[in-house]
Amino acid sequence: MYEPDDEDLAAEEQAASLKVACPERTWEDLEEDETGRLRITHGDKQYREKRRKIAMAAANSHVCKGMIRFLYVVVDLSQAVNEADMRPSRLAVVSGILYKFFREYFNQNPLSQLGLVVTRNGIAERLTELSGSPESHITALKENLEAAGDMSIQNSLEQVQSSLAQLPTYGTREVLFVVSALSSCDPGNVHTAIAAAKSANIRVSVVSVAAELHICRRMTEETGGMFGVSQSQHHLEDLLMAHAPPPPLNEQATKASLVEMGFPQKRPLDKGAFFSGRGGEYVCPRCASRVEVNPTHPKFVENIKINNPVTFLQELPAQCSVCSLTLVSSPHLARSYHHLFPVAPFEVHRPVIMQELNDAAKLDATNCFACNLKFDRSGARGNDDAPSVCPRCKKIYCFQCDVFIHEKLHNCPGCEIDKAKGYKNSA
Amino acid sequence: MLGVRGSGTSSALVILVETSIDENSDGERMEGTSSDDGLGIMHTLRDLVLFISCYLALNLQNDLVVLALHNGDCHYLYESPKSKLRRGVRVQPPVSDVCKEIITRIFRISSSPLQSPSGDASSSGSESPLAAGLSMALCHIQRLGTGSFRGLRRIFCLLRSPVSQRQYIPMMNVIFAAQQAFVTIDSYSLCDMHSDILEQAANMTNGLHRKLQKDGELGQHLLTFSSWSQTCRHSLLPGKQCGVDFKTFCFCHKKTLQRGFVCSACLSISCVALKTGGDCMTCAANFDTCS
Ligand SMILES: [Zn+2]
Ligand SMILES: [Zn+2]
Ligand SMILES: [Zn+2]
Ligand SMILES: [Zn+2]
Ligand SMILES: [Zn+2]
Repeated sequence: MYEPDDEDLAAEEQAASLKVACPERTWEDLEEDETGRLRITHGDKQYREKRRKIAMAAANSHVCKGMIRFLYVVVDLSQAVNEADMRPSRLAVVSGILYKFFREYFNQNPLSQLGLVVTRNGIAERLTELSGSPESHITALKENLEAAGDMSIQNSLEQVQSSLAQLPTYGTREVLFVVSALSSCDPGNVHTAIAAAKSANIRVSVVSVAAELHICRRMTEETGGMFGVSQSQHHLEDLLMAHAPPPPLNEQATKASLVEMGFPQKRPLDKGAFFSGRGGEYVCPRCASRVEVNPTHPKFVENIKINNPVTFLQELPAQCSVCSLTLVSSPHLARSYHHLFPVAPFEVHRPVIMQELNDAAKLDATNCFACNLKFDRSGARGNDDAPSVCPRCKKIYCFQCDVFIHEKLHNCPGCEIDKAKGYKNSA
Repeated sequence: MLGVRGSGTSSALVILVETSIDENSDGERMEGTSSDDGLGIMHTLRDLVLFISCYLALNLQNDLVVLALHNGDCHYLYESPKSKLRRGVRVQPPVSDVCKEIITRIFRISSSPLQSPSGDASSSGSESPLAAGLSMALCHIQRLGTGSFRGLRRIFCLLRSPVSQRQYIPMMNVIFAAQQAFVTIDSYSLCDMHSDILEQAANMTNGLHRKLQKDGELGQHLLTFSSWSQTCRHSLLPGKQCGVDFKTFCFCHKKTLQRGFVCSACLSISCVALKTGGDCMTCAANFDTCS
């Protein structure tokens, strides 16, 4: 008679735990695409979610945003991050998402700065000062991932406040807590620290990995920040990434102003120069001194090569060491111009309209204008991934292009054609 | 060179070619009589067909899309067939058929009177919608999916007229999207005017930009530089390439600036500082108590 031995039982247990760990990967979600590969689909829910996101971004597009941000990320490294309710552990998941977040933050806020604080053993440690290079923060966090003791909200707040309070008022001051613990170990009254943060116009947001803490919610409500509790790994990523786009400008806390900046030209040092002095390749346009841009640490070079093949973006922005003028290059500023000129959200294209069109127009309407994908003749693949139509240029797009255009590209090809027709060659 | 290492690595190439015919200078060339500088549309197409056949011959798995910028519009000329797999290998039509299809479509586009009733004669003299064409190319590339194509996806532009500064913002959006998707933008401009924006695009996406003038250069360039894969580019020297000038223009007068004033709410650039109070000209943020 067959009796299950220990190994079988262990395997069964492992299978069961895997099932608990990844309940979202059920076989029901698989679908075969046209090339025969299997894909995971989340069905209509995902489509609806994406449409909602695009509509929401469009609704907020007219709001003034704080494009220059000073953000401290406080990472809770108390014992609670070693819990294995996320695989392999909360710490691995949180740190992985944070690396992504750092890159996305600088992608969306090119002139902003970020600093990193970790809290463990009841104290708060500032790992990096405010700076503009994502790789330095990633390296610092990677080297400091030992978790121990408790987190301290008060110590963290006091730590970042001393740094944020000195910054110019045109930038938004923000703190983002990533909390796993269910308690805070504070030396005094945490409410006075919150009140002090509020009076210093610091916006405190919290993303909780485990559960809602009263003090965290209170803190975000007092300072006008956001609060979120993650339900799953995906949700945690969504919550953190929601902090990457610039927040709406708080008129009382942050004064918009014109900031003088320099757009330096790269002028390499003449090799035959008798005296080269110190300095780099850029020349400050105000005082004509040579400016040494952020020296790239050899440790980061490998990282940069892999993740950001365009190394010039690492050099600027910088500050002139003589007259402290901020030096930027125009592509940095251009990264945020899509906030100024957003693409209007597309409407769902109803196949009913297709039948009303004449034959010539029908031929045009059967392909996606951007990617030339042929639409299903039936057009009855469910309402949520139906083709979209741009309200301005009336061109029809597939849903995938719709999402790509609004989330990554920020150009409507049809509208750009119409605009270019207005530009005369001679002018 | 074009990802020929093994049959598993294929590459995707989107070619964007400007086929508008400039009545003043191209009229005679179309007749095939004068070919003084080799910049006529017929020469361009001949060299392009040579390049396309070379590209397709290198690897049957290679994906090819050809887009035409014609009289202010953008058309798909050719697209590699999808989902025709036989034992894991895509069946491509013969190279000669591909070239024939491209040429016939170009002639159909250029011979037909402007289709849209609204697009009257005025659109023929307008600027090429380069930003729109590149946007369509990127949309097409993103549909090919990420992962398997990583590092071997390229856009190649052949431009015959200058691009003005007015397409700066949409062009920058394209460049950033291409950067994020690891798509390289190579470009050749076949006109006398300098196009800064294409130079910047090449610089920021690890691509190459060339300005050509002499006869017969295009074919040679296409067959050498343009066939370099991303991995080759790190080890080969593309010859003299002058530094890229990232010029900055103010939003108010489109003047070139060395120093300017940046609105902290929208990052728009102006060349004058508002003294007291006033609103941002772009985003209407109020600067009441600026120091
Ligand atoms: Zn200076
Ligand atoms: Zn599409
Ligand atoms: Zn449109
Ligand atoms: Zn101006
Ligand atoms: Zn503004």
